[in-house]
Amino acid sequence: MLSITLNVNGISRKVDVEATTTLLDVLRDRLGLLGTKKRCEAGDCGACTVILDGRAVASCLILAVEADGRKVLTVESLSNASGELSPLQKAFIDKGAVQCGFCTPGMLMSAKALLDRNPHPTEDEIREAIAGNLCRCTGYAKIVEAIMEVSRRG
Amino acid sequence: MTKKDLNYLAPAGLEPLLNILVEYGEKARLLAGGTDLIPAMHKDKLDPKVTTLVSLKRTALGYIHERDGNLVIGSATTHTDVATSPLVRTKAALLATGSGAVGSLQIRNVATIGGNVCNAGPSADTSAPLMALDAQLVAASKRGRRVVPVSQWYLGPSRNTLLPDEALVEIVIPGLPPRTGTHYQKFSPRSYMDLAWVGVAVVVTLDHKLKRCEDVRIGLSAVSPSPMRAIKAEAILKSVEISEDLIDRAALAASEECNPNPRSRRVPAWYRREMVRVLTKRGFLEAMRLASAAV
Ligand SMILES: Cc1cc2nc3c(=O)[nH]c(=O)nc-3n(C[C@H](O)[C@H](O)[C@H](O)COP(=O)(O)OP(=O)(O)OC[C@H]3O[C@@H](n4cnc5c(N)ncnc54)[C@H](O)[C@@H]3O)c2cc1C
Ligand code: FES
Ligand code: FES
Repeated sequence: MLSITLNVNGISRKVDVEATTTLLDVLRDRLGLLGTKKRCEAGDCGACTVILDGRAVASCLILAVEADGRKVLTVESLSNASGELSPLQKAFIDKGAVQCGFCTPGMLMSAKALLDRNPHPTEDEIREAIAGNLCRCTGYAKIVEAIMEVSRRG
Repeated sequence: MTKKDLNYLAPAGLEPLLNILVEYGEKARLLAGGTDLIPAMHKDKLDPKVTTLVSLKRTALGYIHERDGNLVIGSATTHTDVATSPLVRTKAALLATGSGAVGSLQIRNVATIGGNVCNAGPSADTSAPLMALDAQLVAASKRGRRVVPVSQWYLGPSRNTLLPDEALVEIVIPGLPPRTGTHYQKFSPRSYMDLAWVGVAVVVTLDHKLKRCEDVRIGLSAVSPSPMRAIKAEAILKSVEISEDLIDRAALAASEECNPNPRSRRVPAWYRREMVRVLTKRGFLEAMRLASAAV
């Protein structure tokens, strides 16, 4: 067992992990943050996307020990303490960018990482930023629109 | 050895890492971004001899700088950093294109150029650019440093020339002369998240009159067991003044000298050959245009 400390959504969390435990499994199984989804465990689907030190990553491919001492943001960080949704989340709802919702947490985190760096991305930049997030339902157009909308309002 | 029993070490610096490699030999496996390694671990496909993952994260091998006119890239530099580096984009634009073509942003944000080179996949997106750039790979061990020309690095699918006690430290890319243009094309049916069906990289230096190739190097990936140079095509292009006919002949030669897997279920060999012909011509024309503009 290895003892690590992660800063998750602004709170320092100490956990003991096996060498091979992924960041995804720590978030879901140890910290109870079930917003981050688990599907392919191969980096293909993006459902497990979180932001690590400012960059979108697939948490299923990252060993928790590798993230020791680093800052992790999950979808749970987006709404505020009273549960009010962020402008990005509201835009997803307003534009119909959520259907079954399985891809949504990952999409939101990819979109947030993009907008944090580049508040006014082009459509191409948006499509590139979410290229690693698969959605079986929406056909992507409404997701791109939602992200554009936030960029316009912001 | 199942994944439950793997150990993890994160040595602080290259020297302690090399000591570990001496001690553990084939039982150690270096961990860079993990985007090749962790999926293999999830599928229980790691070499059963491996007992210990050795992380590069504290070795400070993520850097890009210029040294003696060469571009030097640390092995643990991420594809995102390579793809967006102004230095790489001016000194070796085709490599920035290659790194930028890897997987998705989530992958490029952690995956490293050294991992791409060491994993030695036949369709690795940095391989054709590095072949065309005639890059040198610097390996380190307790026995000292060894410089390997990229043309001698790849030994077949997923095999490279490194010995068990060696780590790849950095990649050295010779400075390009004036009147040089570079170009990399990854061809795959989907624009994102797909391995290359064919990768073609071209580096061309024109003569003073912009009429002949002073030098040309063509790197091909995904069309032979290891990345390769299209040497016959290069020789044709260097032989006489450039013409459309010369380029067509060279492109045909490239398609004939490559060696696509005849048993691939993903892509038929004839199709890969045909795409090598088309993309070699297109890539050469584009590199030539950039070379004329870079006077
Ligand atoms: C969803 C997905 C999509 C992908 N798409 C592409 C793609 O489009 N194009 C492409 O080329 N690749 C692609 N890949 C493969 C992979 O991302 C790249 O090969 C990547 O560059 C590997 O780097 P890494 O740092 O993650 O390597 P790791 O997984 O950390 O290491 C790979 C191998 O290299 C060894 N190694 C790493 N660094 C060193 C070193 N310094 N010295 C010695 N040995 C070392 C490791 O021991 C291991 O055997 C994809 C992977 C995934 C999961
Ligand atoms: S679960 Fe991580 S990318 Fe699919
Ligand atoms: S909304 Fe169902 S997968 Fe995207």
